[in-house]
Order: sequence, then structure tokens, then C-alpha cells
Amino acid sequence: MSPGAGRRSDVALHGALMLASAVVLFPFLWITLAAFKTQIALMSGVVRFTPVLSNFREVLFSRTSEYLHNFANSTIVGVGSTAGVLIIGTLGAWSLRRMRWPFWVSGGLLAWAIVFQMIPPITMVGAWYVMFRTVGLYNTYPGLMLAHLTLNLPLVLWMMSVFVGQVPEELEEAARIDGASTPVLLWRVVVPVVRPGLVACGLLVFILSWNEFAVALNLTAKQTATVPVAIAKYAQEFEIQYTQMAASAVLSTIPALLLLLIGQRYIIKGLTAGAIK
Amino acid sequence: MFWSEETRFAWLSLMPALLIFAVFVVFPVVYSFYLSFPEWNRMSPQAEWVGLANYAALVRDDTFLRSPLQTSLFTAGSTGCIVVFSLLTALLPDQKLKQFRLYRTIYYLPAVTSVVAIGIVWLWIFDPDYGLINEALKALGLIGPRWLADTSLTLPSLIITAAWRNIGYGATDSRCHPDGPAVPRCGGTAGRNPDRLGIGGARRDRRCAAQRGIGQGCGAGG
Repeated sequence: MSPGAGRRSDVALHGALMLASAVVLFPFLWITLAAFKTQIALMSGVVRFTPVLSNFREVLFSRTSEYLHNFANSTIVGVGSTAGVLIIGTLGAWSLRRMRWPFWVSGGLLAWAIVFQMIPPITMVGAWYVMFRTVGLYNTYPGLMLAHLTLNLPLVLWMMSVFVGQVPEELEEAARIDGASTPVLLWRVVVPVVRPGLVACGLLVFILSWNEFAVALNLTAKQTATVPVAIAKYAQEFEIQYTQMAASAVLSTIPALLLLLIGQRYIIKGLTAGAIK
Repeated sequence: MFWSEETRFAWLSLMPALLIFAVFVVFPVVYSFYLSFPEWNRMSPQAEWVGLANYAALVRDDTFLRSPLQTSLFTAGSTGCIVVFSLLTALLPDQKLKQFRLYRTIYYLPAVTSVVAIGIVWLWIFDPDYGLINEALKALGLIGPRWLADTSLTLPSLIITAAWRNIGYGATDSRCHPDGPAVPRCGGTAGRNPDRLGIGGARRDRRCAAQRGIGQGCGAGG
């Protein structure tokens, strides 16, 4: 191949990549612009408009708005379920790696992961709803946390088992010789080594919990509604305020977006580990 | 039975995960099956046992009968798009681009956006009167179709949306190789250190194939 051909294919590659980027980014750009428009500017479809902040003000601070409350709900549920799933998942992963579990245990846990692959979580919601109602977990933070924890545990279990498997056995043996008990060994040796994996898992799981809609819709009511549930409610209101809906959608995307940008290196690394090893 | 301290602790460590599995997965599956026999509307206190009547109603329901075909078409269409695009982005790292990370982040954006926000945006994009697509077509002198309001175009519209959302699949699958070729590494770890893991290579390969599936599934949840 001549050097000229190489450069030309480079140009073609970049062209294709940029086109794809434009396709991905355009809806984001469009909804962000809509959030800064007045309803009239949006409907008349003008290209030039004076940006206004009234939509954001209305969404965040109007008397009838509960958006900040929903934001807090999402944060509480996200942090709680993520912390829980990391603790339970890491302990379980370590146990799966270090013990020779009978096949029905490891196989059963694998089946769980596969079941969640094949059937949408929404099929569990009916039973969860009845269960949670009965024991008083419906419309509570712990209830939704447990539901999200259950949805994400298989992922964490397998991802963390990869990271735990990478801990050098010599390190653990050295700690044993120094007389460390198993809990101490876990906390002082294993956890520090798998910290990048914990960060990756944590970010990923938090984002999944933040965006989760179907289960949250069924297990929450007004007091505990998360952000996606609240936005969906907007869309069903009698008089749809498109621009406010856009503003609330933009605001809801920001936390996950920030986490992706800050932690993308970790997230990709985590997915790589979960996928390959 | 005399178990070492480590064995006992390993048992305890797996218990929370097993407990959650039993209470929130196994039980609900069984319970759902049980719930398919009575007639109950969430409000009334009393449920009436109707046997297979719920299933009979389902089989007579036109919407339900159409749904397998619709779902198959949707899945085939969106998976096709995603696979093609994923293959392209999965080759990205081989191109040794400086902007590799930037592109990857961009393509992964839709995957970390809530389905609700995505739904809102695409509802507008497909809007027959004010929507982006039809505005663009109008500028070209064409009259756009009714998209979501047109029964023959609803499914393609949904497929486009799903494909857009999952464009980043390949970008994370190129996780398969920022630093190496994708598939062969699977067995690689086991080959390098077989004693350590105590599991045969073939079994490991099967397991890691399953893990790869899991890694991808997380994106599809929405």
C-alpha cells in the first residue's frame, strides 16, 4: 500500500468516526438546547433564540416541584445499594475463589446471572411488589435498595471474582505467616489490592441504579420516587411542558455523565476484566 | 466436623449473596408461578382461585399473540445494527488512534443515560409535526411519514432508538482489547497458571464466555 492510500484511509476512518459521534451527540445537544428555550421558541422551531434559565428554575425550585427531593432519593438509593452490593459481592467473590464450592452453589449463582440476562427484571416486579407490600418494604428506601442490590449482585460477583483472582497468593500467605486472621487478611490485603476493581464496579453499579426505571416505578410512590420515575410522570401530565421536561432530563443525566467522565478509565478496565479473564 | 477458621469464614462470606439469591430471586420466581393461578386485582383483599383461566385469557388475547413476532423482529433488527456497529468500534484500538478514548467515551454516553430521558428525546425526534427528522425532510422538500403514529413504522423507529442507545456496546467490547487481541486471552490466564485456579482450561473457557455475556448484559438492562 502506498503511503498516500494509508492517509486516505485515515481520512475515511476519521470521517466515519466523526459522523457516528455526531449521530450519538446530536440528540444530547438538541435536548440541551431545548432546555434553554422558551416553549414558544421550541414550538416555532427558530434557530436563533435567547437562552433562558426559567426551565431549570421551574424544575428545581418551583413550589410544586419535587425534583430536588427525587434527586436526593436517587442518590440515597444509589449509594445504599452500591455500598451493599460491593460488600456482599466482594465477600462472595472471595469465597467463590478461595473455596471449592460444590457445583450447585457456583452453578446456581452463574444461573442467576444468566437468568437475569434472559428474562427482563420487569418479570420479577409483580412478585416483588406483593412481597414488599406484605412486609412493609414497599415505598421505602431499603426496599428499592434491596431490589437494585439484587439486580446488580450477579454482575459484581463475577466482576469482583476476576479481581480477587488476581491477588497474588504469595501475598495472602505472607499475611498468614504474620498471623493475620481471615477477616484481617481480607481487609488489609485483599481489599487494597482490588481497590481499582471496587471503584470500577461501584461506578458502574451506581450508574445502573441511578438510571433504573422499571423496578423503581413499581416499588416507589411519591415519597421515594427516583429521578427517572419523576421524569416519566412529567410526560404523563395533563399539559406537557416540553421545555421543563427537557431541563429535568438534562439535569438527570449530569451525575451519571460526570461519573463516566471521571471514572471511564476504571469502568472500561472493570468491564475488560469482567469480560475476558 | 473440624473446619479451619478460613473455611468457616468463606462459608459465612458467601451467605449474604446466597440469601439474597434465595429470597429475592428463587422465591419470587416460584411465587410468580403461584400467582398465575388466582384472579386478583391488587386492591381486593380476596384472591379467587381460577386455575388455568389466566392462561386461557392470555392465549385469546390478540396483543399477546402478536407480541412474540414483534419482539423477535425488534430483537433481530436492533441486534443486527448493534453487532455491525460493535464490530467496527471493536476494531478501533487496532487503529492506534490518539483520540481513541474520546471516541469511546462518546459512543458510551447513551448507555449511561436513563431510558426515560432517551425516550423523551426520541419521542420528539420522531414527532411528525415538529420532530427533527421530519423538519430535515421538509427542508429537502419531502413530506416525512408519521413515524410512531404509523403502525408500519413504529417498529423501525424503536429499532433505531435501541440501536442508538447501544452503540457503545462495541466501545466497551473493545475492552476486549485495549492491550491485546480479544478472544485468545480468555484461555490465556488459565493456561498460564492452571494450578492456581484449580479448574480445567475447558471449564474456565466456558465460564469466561459466560462472564463476557454478563459484562455485556449490564448495558442492555434498560
